[in-house]
Amino acid sequence: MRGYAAFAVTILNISLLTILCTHRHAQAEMRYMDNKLIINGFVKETAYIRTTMTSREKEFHDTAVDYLTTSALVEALYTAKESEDLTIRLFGGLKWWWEKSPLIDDNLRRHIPHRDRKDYMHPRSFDDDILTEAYVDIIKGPWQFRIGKQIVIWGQLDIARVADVVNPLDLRKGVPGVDTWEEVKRGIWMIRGFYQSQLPGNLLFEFIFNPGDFRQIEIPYEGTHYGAPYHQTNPFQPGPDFGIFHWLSQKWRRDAPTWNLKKNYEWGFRIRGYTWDIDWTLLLWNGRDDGPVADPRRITPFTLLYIQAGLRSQLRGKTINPPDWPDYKVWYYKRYTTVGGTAQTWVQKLWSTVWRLEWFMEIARPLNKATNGASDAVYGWTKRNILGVALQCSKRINIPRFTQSRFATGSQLDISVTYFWEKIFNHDHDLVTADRNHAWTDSTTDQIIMFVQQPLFNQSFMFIFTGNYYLRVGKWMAVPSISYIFPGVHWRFDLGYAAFGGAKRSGRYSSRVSSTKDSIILRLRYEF
Amino acid sequence: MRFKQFQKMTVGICITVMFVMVPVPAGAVEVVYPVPAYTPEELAKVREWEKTWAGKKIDKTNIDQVAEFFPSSYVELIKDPERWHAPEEGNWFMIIPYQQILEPTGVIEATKKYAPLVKTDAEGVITNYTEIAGMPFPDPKTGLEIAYNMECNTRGDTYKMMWHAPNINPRTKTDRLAKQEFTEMFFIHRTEVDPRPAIPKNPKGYHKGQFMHMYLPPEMLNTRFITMRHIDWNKEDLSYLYYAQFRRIRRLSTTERTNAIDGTDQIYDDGNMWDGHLSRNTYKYIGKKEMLLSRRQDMSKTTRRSGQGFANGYDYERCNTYVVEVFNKDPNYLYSKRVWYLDAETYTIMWQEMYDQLGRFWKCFCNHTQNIKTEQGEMKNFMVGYTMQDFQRTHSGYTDMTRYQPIKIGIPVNPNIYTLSNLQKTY
Repeated sequence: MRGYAAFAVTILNISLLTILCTHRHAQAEMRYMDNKLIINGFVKETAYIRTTMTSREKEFHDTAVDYLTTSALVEALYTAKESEDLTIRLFGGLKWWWEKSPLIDDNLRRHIPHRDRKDYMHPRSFDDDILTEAYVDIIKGPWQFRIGKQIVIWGQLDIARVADVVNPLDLRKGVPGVDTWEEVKRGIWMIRGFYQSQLPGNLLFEFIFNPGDFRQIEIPYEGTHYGAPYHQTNPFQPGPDFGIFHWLSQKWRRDAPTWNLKKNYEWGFRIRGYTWDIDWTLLLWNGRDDGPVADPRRITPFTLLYIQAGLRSQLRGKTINPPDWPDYKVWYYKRYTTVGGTAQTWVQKLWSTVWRLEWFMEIARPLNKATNGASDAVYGWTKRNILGVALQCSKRINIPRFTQSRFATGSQLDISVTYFWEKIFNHDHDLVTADRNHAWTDSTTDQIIMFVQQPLFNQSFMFIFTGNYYLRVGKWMAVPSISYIFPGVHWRFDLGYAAFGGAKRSGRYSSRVSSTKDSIILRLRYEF
Repeated sequence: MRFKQFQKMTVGICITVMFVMVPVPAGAVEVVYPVPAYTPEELAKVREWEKTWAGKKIDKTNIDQVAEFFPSSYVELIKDPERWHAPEEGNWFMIIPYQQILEPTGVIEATKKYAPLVKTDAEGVITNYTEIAGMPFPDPKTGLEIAYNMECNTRGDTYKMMWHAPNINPRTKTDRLAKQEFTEMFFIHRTEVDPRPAIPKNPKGYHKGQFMHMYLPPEMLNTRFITMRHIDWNKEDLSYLYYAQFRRIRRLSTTERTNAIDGTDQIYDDGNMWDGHLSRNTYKYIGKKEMLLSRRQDMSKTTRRSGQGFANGYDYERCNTYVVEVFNKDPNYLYSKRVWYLDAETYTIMWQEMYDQLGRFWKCFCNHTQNIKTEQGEMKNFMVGYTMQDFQRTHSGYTDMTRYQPIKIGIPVNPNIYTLSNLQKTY
């Protein structure tokens, strides 16, 4: 019944949007108060239909649709003052979502832990989930200050976040490259300042100070489309109401620090310049790690609480949950420093290609140590320096016969290839690095990322291919998609296919979560 | 007596020799500018013709009678309204009487001051390019001289406008909209806005800067773009894009000048009819030709329905044009030939025909201009619209630059808008 209701609401949403919006004057954004207030955003309906599912996973799904979301983003900009020497603007963004797959699939619903399910289906708190950004922007002469909740993007690459270190990700409902930053990044309250100098190279100075607003990375919930499959994280049948992944990740969230100026402050500095036809930036960031390391003394007893509950469930043949959350801390978010930079230039003599370089050096990055690097055998923590470098080459290509054909209608193929390499210095086999896609014994990892875009039929269609391949661990992802931009200005439809592979070859402790997540992606988007 | 005669003769010869031999200062040569499109005799004939045609509506029933003044492709377009998804009344436009257009005082004064000082090399290339302003060749004799006049029209030195630009598919009867705000500023050849004729502090040698803020299509909302054109013909443009959706500043390659702009029929070289260095082409002056030009166009009078390839209600007036054939030096260039029809008074390209690599006729673009009051209080004939037709693919484009806000010409523009920090401002 709930399933029918969800489908009905989905259809109703689309119909209402169609009726209400197609007859409006063609204007993407709404302007009020003599253009002082500008509102824009989107509403979209997204579905992922699984095309591969192991027999074990099928036991926990009634349908192949394990992601069906209505989501919206509204952003408003109010210009309070605009003159030659002083501009003051207020900016705010709100997002909202309704995940309906648990409503149309009772089996799926039952196998998402109830605490997570509530948060997964709707935003849970105004500040954490609904308010994306809220800041005042003051521009006076060469100075600019943004004060408030913000999402900061450092770096120039498409998907790889090499120099993009400021805001933590929120991967519960989306991924970078597919969804907007407002959907997959967590805003932080901060003060951000710029100074445009007249020095050689047009040096632009930027600083950021976060007065203690800590937010950790959000990872996908157990049993959901992006999350760990239920059967992989629930070893006991019957067992507790939730899997061990939920038990650990909930504690991860609970142990995350909150506002604290003294302990959680973060600061950063960046310079942007232009020298010898190269645009470059240098950055420095000091803050707490978005992800935690486990306390080696407590992770085992904490995990044992779950295992004990699981064993008791097995012995008594009914669900027994672990006791309430212990008071002690299991996860710690430690401070470290990142230095990095970017450079980009266009080299006409090299087939007219654009080259982008990004690098980071994480100094004393906290890592866990575990027997043979297995995250379930943690015995200590340590610090390591980690160097990452990405090099991207972009080019627009004129394909003979095709570019000027009736399909491409004059639009060239846009292609970029990125090579990313990372090295952990002073590496040993006990470092827990699976989440960084390192092979167990390898101090380095590398991947190739490819992005291809071809507008078709006077850009009414757009073909996009995004893919990556981890050369050492063999994991890969390929997402071809085609978008149709409806006549007018508001509607857009995307059809794509996400394929994943190589996880079985990816080494002992590398993540295999996505190995069976191949899906058809359907997305209808109304933009205003 | 004889001696007196000899004396008179000698004095006379001396005076004659003095007049002949003493060099006359270059500045003393009277530059004739502005030059009307017609001589009085020619104008009389035009006025006679206008007695029949001015105020008349031209549609498929009578287009043949004025076809000699219209590109043949557009004659066929008027005759075939179904192909271009015209409404029941068909495609039509009006004829209005010719009026001479005068450039602002700054252009006239600069032309008179600098035209005599223009120095060229053996190939006709101006060697003191950064020191001049106004029309360098008020009485052009070659295709390159006409092209220089076109390029030195700085459109009021600075301007800001917002355009409404549907990308039209008459076959599917649909529009896809683009809305963009565009600010351009010339660093040299300035005639209206101080400092003139050039901005003194220009260490990077910029010719002009362009800043574009995109509002439509929605996925491009608040995406911004700057392009800096260098004076040095050997230096390519410097271009950056701030892609709002991903909040990243991207350096762009600027050599793919033949890439279609956002699915339109226009390539990057087609901006303002030609938006590249003059050195990339060779120019062949064909002669003068009278054409119907839309150069006093009130865009609000035009009407168009979704998918209609050619708007109705344009005002065209008969006017002389310079016809120049333009050949790109790259043998693999997208177009084998362009034909420019330049307004003989403003040197604006009002019509342009393009031919594909096999020499087949491909596209025809029409520029619509209007006299607009500048910030300095003068009238400047300025582009207000654009019509593009791809006759091979039956695809169209239409631009109205006055739909959202008046075009502002000669406004003070802060050069800081062409910086990366401006690209990522909050909008």
